[in-house]
Amino acid sequence: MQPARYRAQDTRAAWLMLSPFLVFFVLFIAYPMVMSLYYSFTDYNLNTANFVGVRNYVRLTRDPVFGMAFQNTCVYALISVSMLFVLGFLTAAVLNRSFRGVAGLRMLMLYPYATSMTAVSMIFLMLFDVNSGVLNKILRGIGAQPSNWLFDPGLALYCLIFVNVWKNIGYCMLIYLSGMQTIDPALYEAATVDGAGEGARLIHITLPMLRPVALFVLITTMVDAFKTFEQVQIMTRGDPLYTTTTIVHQIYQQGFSDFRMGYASAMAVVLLVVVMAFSAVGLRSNPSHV
Amino acid sequence: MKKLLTILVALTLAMTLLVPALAQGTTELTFLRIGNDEAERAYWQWAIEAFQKENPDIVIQYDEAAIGEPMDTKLNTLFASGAGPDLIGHGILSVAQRVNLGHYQPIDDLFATWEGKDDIMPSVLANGTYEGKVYGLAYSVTPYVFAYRIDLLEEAGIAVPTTWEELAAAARALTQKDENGAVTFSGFCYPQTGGNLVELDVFVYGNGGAYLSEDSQPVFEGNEQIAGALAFLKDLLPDVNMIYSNNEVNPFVAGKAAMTLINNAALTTMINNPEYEGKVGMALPPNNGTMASFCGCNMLFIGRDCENPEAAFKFINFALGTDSALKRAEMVKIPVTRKSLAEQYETMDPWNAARVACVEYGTGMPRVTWSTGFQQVRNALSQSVLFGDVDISIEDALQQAQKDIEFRMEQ
Repeated sequence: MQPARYRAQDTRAAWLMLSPFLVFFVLFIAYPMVMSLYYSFTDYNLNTANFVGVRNYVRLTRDPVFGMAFQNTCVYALISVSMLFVLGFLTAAVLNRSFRGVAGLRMLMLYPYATSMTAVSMIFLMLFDVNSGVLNKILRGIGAQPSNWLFDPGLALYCLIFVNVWKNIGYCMLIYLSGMQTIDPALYEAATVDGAGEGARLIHITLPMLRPVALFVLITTMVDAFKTFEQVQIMTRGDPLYTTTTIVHQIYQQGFSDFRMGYASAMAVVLLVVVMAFSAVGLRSNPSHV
Repeated sequence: MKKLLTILVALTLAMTLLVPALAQGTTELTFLRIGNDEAERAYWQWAIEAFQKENPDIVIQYDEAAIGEPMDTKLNTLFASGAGPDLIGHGILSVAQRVNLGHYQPIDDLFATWEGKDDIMPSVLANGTYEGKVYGLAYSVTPYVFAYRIDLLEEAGIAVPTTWEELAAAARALTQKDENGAVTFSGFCYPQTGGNLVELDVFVYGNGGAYLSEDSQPVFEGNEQIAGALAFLKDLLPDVNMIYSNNEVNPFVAGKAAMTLINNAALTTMINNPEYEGKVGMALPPNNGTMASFCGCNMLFIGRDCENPEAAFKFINFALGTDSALKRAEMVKIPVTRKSLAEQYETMDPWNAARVACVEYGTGMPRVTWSTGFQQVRNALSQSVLFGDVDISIEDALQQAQKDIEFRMEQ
């Protein structure tokens, strides 16, 4: 009987300790999610909400701007995540060595990540300025044709991707680096004794041991890329010609500029499903480690 | 220590109970204004102080938000939480949408008793009227003026352009390019992106056109006046323009352009800059047969949640009174909205006649529930024809715009 009593007490204590999180979760995550789902089936306009069935979802399939936003978001996420995934790893591999100034370099790499996206966007807005920006001054200085950067429909999205990669590479480097430093050095020593070179050690020890870390980097950078907003709002506002608008930017536009909260909620639900699908694929690819 | 804490707690409690009691009999009104520019802020601070001196029983809590989404987001949040402002200073674009959302109270009864009701300019009054009811009264009109550099035009021996042909010739003559053919000094600058591209409207109206039919339906497809305006700009801009966004400083204000279309208020910093003293001129925009401009309008509305509309209207009455209007014209250089003050206003500054003309011939944003959709479609039309990479014909772009606006109008 004694152990059972302890178990009941433990359960109560566990619920008590979990309660702050649970209250927060219900109020600020579960409830808004349920309400968003509900509103996505209504024509809620901040005033009234009438049930409209799946009309908002049908409209999404016909909306060319949402189509562009979806495509832009996918391109943004795909390129950003790939680059962060690879460059973050390579940077971490370089900075995992012991050489003079490595601590300073690691800190320098982290600085952009520690800066707010708003500040970063404002700085890059100035750098990309067509008429007085540093980038065009350099191009003119070397006799090259200046670029229209954020005004060029074919280039603007890639400028945003570049900024995102520059800002977040330090974060990926840090996660990879912490993963690398937990790998038992004995494994490397044994491999070296067996005649494995640097490349072989990287491929046969570092990479397999980093799988869970890589998965973490993949999922967090992907979720971050799918919810991109500040950059777009500050640097381009979706221009030119919707080539930089993203799903979250459209949610904001539809909800707060056009007062179509129901329609914006449908977009949010689609985004949630997409992010969940990508995360599930990522998690299923490595079930044993996570 | 314990004693001190007890005294502090007791004092705090006493203050909590006493302050509302002392404040009884005082009406507090919240006022949210669109825009966060310093000149306008200074005016409202003056107006509130002067009003409160005359009406010690009314206290105005002033707040402001940047033009565009920040203002709407703030308003939406306040209304959603049941704490909508008592007084709202907002633009034409908001009228139909927010009346339909029930955010603005009709003020016909209060307006009927207003001393200035017969003095307000009819075109200005129309901006705040929706479906036969008065909701807002204009405190400011924001005309787009044709701004030019007097010194550069004189140096080149060019008269101030009044027609499209003259504008094109002057712009080409004043443009400077580098060895690669890139424009280093713009003869006439026109924005590619950013916010509300009303510059196109000036050309459409100046070509005798309109975007809406008489029954407020959008007419893009086959609209010859819009097509004409786009064709003119498509031919001119590659030769003379310096790319910029309306979210940035206009190159004209930065001293990198000879002519532009610009919101009158945005010129203030340049006019006040001693470097440009006597060098900046203003006129009605050059046109193709129809005198026209774009003229925005900001109005004072009484919010849905206001419990004391009479007190709120008292403040509107004060802010739109003749003394306040003249003070405002002096401080912010914004044209007056009352007919009786027009003559006096014109004598206050040599360029005020041009400002008044831009108000007189100015048209604002459409007062329809899909006005933000219109803004986005018109912006996309301007970008695709004038700056797009795709070699789209003007006819196809107009057809696409018609399709897009009809999609956005769907409920």
